Amino acid sequence: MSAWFDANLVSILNGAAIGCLLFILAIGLSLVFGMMDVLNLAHGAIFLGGAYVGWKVGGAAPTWASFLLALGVAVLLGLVAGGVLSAMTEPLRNRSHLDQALLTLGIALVVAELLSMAFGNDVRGVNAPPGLDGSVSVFGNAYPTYRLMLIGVGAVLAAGMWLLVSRTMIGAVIRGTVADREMISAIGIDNRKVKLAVFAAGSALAAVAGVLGGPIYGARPGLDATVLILALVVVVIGGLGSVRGALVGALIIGQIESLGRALFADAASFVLFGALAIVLVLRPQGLFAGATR
Amino acid sequence: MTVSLTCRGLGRAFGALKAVDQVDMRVAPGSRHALIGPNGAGKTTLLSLITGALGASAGEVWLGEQDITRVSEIRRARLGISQTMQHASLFPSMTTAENVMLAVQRHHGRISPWPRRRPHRGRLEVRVEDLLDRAGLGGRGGVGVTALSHGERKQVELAVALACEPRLLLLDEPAAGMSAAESQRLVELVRRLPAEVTVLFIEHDLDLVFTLATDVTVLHLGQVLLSGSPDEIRTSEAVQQAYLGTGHTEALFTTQP
Amino acid sequence: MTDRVSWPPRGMLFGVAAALLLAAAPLFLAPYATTTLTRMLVFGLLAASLALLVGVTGLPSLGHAAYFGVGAYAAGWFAKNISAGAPLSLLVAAAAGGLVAAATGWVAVRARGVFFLVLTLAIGEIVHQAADRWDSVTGGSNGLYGIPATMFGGEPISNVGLLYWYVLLAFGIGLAVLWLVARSPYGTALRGIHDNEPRMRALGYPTSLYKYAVFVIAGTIAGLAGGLLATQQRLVTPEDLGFTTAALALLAVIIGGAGSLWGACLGAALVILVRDTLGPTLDGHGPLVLGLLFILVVYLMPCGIAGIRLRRGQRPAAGDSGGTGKPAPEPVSVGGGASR
Repeated sequence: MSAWFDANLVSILNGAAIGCLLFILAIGLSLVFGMMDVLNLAHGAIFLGGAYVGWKVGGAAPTWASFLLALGVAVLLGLVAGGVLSAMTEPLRNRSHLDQALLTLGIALVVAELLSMAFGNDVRGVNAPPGLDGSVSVFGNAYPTYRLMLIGVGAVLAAGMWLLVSRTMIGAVIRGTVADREMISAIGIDNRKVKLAVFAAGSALAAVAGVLGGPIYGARPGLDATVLILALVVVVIGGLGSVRGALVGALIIGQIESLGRALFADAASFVLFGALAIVLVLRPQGLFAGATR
Repeated sequence: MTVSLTCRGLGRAFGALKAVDQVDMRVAPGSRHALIGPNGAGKTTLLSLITGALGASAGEVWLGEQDITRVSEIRRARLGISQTMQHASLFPSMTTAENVMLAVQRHHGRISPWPRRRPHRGRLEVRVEDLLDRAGLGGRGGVGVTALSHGERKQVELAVALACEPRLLLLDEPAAGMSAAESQRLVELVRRLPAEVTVLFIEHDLDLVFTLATDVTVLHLGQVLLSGSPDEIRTSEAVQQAYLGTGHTEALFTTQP
Repeated sequence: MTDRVSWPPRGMLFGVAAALLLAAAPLFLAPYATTTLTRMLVFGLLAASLALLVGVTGLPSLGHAAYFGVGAYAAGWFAKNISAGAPLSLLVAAAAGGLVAAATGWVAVRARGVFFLVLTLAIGEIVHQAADRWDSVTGGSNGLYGIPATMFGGEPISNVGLLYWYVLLAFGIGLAVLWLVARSPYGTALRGIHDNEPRMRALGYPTSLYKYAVFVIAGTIAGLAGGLLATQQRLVTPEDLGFTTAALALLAVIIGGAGSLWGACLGAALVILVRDTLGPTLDGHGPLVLGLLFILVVYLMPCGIAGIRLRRGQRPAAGDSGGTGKPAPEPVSVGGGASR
């Protein structure tokens, strides 16, 4: 057991790092999904936009200043993108899920194509900022410092989101909207403003995830679809609109992506679908459906 | 073959709210059993527990000699339970005849993945016509259901429910929203039902209840307040109080026996 | 709608005329145009099978290209390694499409509303990844190439016109199956599920089973279409079962006015025409146009071509409750019953 643990420690840590990144990405998707009933297929494109921001603003070998600047730019761009998405989906409020999905899909295709026209088809690798670009020893294994930090950021963010949702007024509105949208608008809270805020915040988080993910994934065409699928699987496994679900789902998918690939190599895709299938057969609404915390 | 319906300790909670609580009720074979009670008494929820659209959180439902508590809604329908909904629940892209045909073909036809042959189809179409006539919708078969009046839609519901030749027919406020003439036709229709069909119906129009019902159960706050013959219900003070609070005994039931 | 109203004389005439015209096409078309028409048939069959899911049953699948691609790979692999004899590879393709649909469909049809979208998207993506990585069978990202021409009576079908007729025949059979299913009592039940699934359950219809069955049927026909693709292109790449293909098929269905099989075929013809004529001039920016098209179609054409036609035809009858009419179709949006 301990030998197995030793051999796979790096994979497990990688899985945790990917999981934290996925959590940051998926939480916005999950809230838009759970609160506004909109399947936002442009979420991956925003992540990719963030990744290119990280490369362009931060540079391939960023300093702390440029890295933080990139994060700031990503937040701004994410907020704007979320606002635009919210406005564009507004006319489709009473249409089917498919229509909304097709619209955001169209947006995703356009954005991804524009990004590839602007930045080319090469993989744009990004280094971690100074001080985090080395590695440290974890139980005798050398492990990239940046990924450990990512795990830390994920943990802090998860705790922050949990506090926000379960302890604050904003959280009460969020939980109320997931449970019963009509009720929330009946007590005088403007549904459109809630939607705008959730879209903007979720998109900003996605863009931030793109910058943070730069040193792991880089920025390249096609990355948007890959992360979108992973985030969707996270949301489905975790349950719509659930912070805890998104966290647990992200950590599970992170492990499947990392440890699963290490152990089963090419079968990892099937492991992913298998996990999805098992969860949905046992809990059709996801692991934490209805529980917004 | 007539069939009875028995609920034993039946309950359904939504969170802390016990919408249906410890309901014991027996609907005798072939009876016309009315379920009445103030708004929010749990009548519709009780019907959903009987059809299986909702799962019970406590107790049992028996259809005749068979415990159907764990039987799926689909199987219950095939055992002969039909229902009409409070708000007509139809197939909006289809015509009136097609709506009824969906029920007829489920009951009589094989649901094959190739088109039906002519003689067979003819028989089913005759059956649909017959049902529409009985429900007072003769000649309206080709009309899309979205073009029908509210009362007519409820008649379609009834035709759909009858198409399955139910042993137990559940009607949720069948006369609500109907004109006086339509509701009179409904009474006739229910009266003309074969005696072996057991009927349980929710109705707010107490005139109609006392015209049709052989038995009445009063539900209040999810619990059975009283079960008995129409006369017993009419004279019960507990029922009067549940509806109106104390002190209004004389105002409630206006119809003379 | 295909159509419950006007089928007998007018529709029949229309169908026969279309069939004759299609059959005669290679006699007066240039080889290049015939090849384009062949591609339209292949893609049209895929779109029609998707229309049975999306339009008739209300199951908006984002991953239907998976079964198309599985069929294409199966046909290609079979022709390359076992036999290139005429209908065999097509049968293998249909069986493969159906089997994979049967293996993945049960999870998908149990999912409600927006979950169905996500699941089919995930299925499509996973099958795509599998095709990309399973080098020994699929040839990986290079694709499966060197597929031999289909043999008929000991001779390879290499003539463009003959190939067209072969594809047309298979297309006709596939479309006939879809049409019969849509017109059958089972098809009526599928439309009932689209309209009001809870009511169907209350009537005693096992709706999940029905949805599963139609998922497998549509997967089988998509597999057949994939087999035709392998027959015609003699090359299958992961792109063929990728998301772009699924999105194009969906676009064809929506342009055609979901719910209409012939509309889906027309939509597919349009999509192929645009892709093949515009494609070379776009310099690889097809997805950009595709994305813009999606946005436009969603905003401007909530009912598709068939929807526009129907609405126009309906206008005088709308509100008229007298004997003749079908209901004025409500402005049902593309996915119809899939919402909530």
